Amino acid sequence: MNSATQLKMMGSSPAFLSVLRASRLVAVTGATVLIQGESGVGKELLAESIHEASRQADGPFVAVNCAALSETLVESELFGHAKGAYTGAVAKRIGRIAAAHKGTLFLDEIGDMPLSIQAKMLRFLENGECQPLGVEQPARVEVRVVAATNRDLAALVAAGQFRQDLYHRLHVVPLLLPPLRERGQDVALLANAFLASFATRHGVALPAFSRSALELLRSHTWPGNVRELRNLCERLVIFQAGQEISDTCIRGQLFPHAACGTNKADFTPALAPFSLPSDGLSLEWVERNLILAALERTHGNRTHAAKLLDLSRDTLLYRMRKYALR
Amino acid sequence: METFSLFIPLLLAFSSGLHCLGMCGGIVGAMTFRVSSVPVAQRKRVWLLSLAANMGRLVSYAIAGALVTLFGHALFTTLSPGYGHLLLQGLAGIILVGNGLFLIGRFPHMHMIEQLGSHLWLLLEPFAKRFMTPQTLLQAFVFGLVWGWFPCSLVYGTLLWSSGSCSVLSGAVVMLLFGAGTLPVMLSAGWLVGYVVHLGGLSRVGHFTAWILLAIGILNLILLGWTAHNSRLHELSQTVNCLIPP
Ligand SMILES: Nc1ncnc2c1ncn2[C@@H]1O[C@H](COP(=O)(O)OP(=O)(O)OP(=O)(O)O)[C@@H](O)[C@H]1O
Ligand SMILES: [Mg+2]
Repeated sequence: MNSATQLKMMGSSPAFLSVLRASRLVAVTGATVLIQGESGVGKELLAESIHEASRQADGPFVAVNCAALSETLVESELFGHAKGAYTGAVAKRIGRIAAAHKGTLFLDEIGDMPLSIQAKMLRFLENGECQPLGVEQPARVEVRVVAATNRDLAALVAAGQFRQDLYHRLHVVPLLLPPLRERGQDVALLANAFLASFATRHGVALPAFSRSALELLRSHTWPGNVRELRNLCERLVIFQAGQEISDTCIRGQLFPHAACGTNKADFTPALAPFSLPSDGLSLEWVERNLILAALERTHGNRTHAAKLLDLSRDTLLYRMRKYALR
Repeated sequence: METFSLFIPLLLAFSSGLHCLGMCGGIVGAMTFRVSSVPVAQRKRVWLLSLAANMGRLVSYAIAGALVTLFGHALFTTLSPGYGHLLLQGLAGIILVGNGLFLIGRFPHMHMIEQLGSHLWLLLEPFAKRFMTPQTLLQAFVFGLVWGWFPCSLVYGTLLWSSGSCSVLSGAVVMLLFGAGTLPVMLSAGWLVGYVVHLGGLSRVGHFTAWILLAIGILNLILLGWTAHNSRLHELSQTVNCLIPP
């Protein structure tokens, strides 16, 4: 669990609070929860807080990223396998589902789960039985399922990319986290809280937003939602330690490619994370290393790595193939 | 206007169908999850449990309706013995317009009224949690009693509007009607939630009724102005927002 998740879920907008209230109620029931919302709205954080408010809070919280699972290994990853179940299965393996026994199984990016796995997943959700590969007798597991996706599951069902029966199984308690731009007052609240926590973490003097900066934050559309705001605040803490943060400065951070008046020149050098060595370097080498770094930071989660690099997942996969990265 | 008084709470309820489905459908789903995860034979039990919970919710609505009307009258007749009633009805008319605008997506600030109940909910939440997995119909009913106070802009909006009712009984009945109007959607929530087609249909119906509400709200205000202008205040209690005269 990274340090970000140690932060409690914050917010005071009505739209956010109603979801939070509903989630606290349903947490105690053990019902399957489906969290929907745009990327970066806090779905994973909400899933964790549901686990913590639930009756199985003492049990494990096991997160599975369905988008990151390769189709060939996904089955043994989720359900486990017996020793010798297939060539290469040298030892018995406990699947993620069984690992979540008496706890919460968090199925992240459920919309990206391969169709072939969906049928087996449905069987598990229907009767709570988990059958590892190469094992005759399925085992009963007691697992609370929380699923999340930033895709429109209903549309995926309509397009035939997601099983309708699985959708109904998951859609018992739908919770819709609103995007940050619809959460008005939350933007300032979160921004100030992030500034404070990053200033402490990096051991620098706390910067402060100017009025116009807060107005700009409020009117920004936040396509990356809370994650975008959080990343912005971390950069601001580093570049503006102890200073007042102006709207121009934020504009420069939010839209680094846009021309933004005379001030741009002032902070561009400080912002540029790299400098060109006097004898030059290989751009491809830099790119390859950055991709590796992103994958390492996200523990191999390609969807998240793509987000870190501001690429689409497909573009990232293309470049990984280009550099023969796995 | 009397027939309007009858239809307004129903219209409010119908147009909030989708909203309720999102917010409360999940709560019903969670409440009956234990039971519904057992095979088909349990269908009826699930249905009875949600019926009991919904009845509890309606009772709470009625109590709330009576309370706010009582309070509204006391407050406004103290503020202005002669015109208190008129002011209250004017306010209710404005609130109705606000509800209509909120429902067609033009007045998101309406959401703020949820704050009114957030403190009350903090007190009630432990009880709601305790009865969240009811074993008996009585427990489900008690859960519903608590659930009725769950902060929700639509419920609160209707409640504010009902405070302009001509009598305490009328206020209670208005809220009861509103609750009854939410029943079709809430009782089928288990099956409805997730049926894409139905959701699309519901939101269209909701939008349509929201426009009607807006129109009624404006008409309400015009009529009110007219009545006041012609000094026919004695007719007021019979004209607007009055299901059961005092
Ligand atoms: N309400 C909140 N309070 C504090 N931090 C939050 C809040 N919501 C989100 N965050 C932070 O924002 C970041 C993104 O949140 P999270 O990973 O839960 O988003 P997500 O919805 O799962 O995104 P994705 O769809 O991309 O997986 C995390 O660092 C999380 O800690
Ligand atoms: Mg996530």
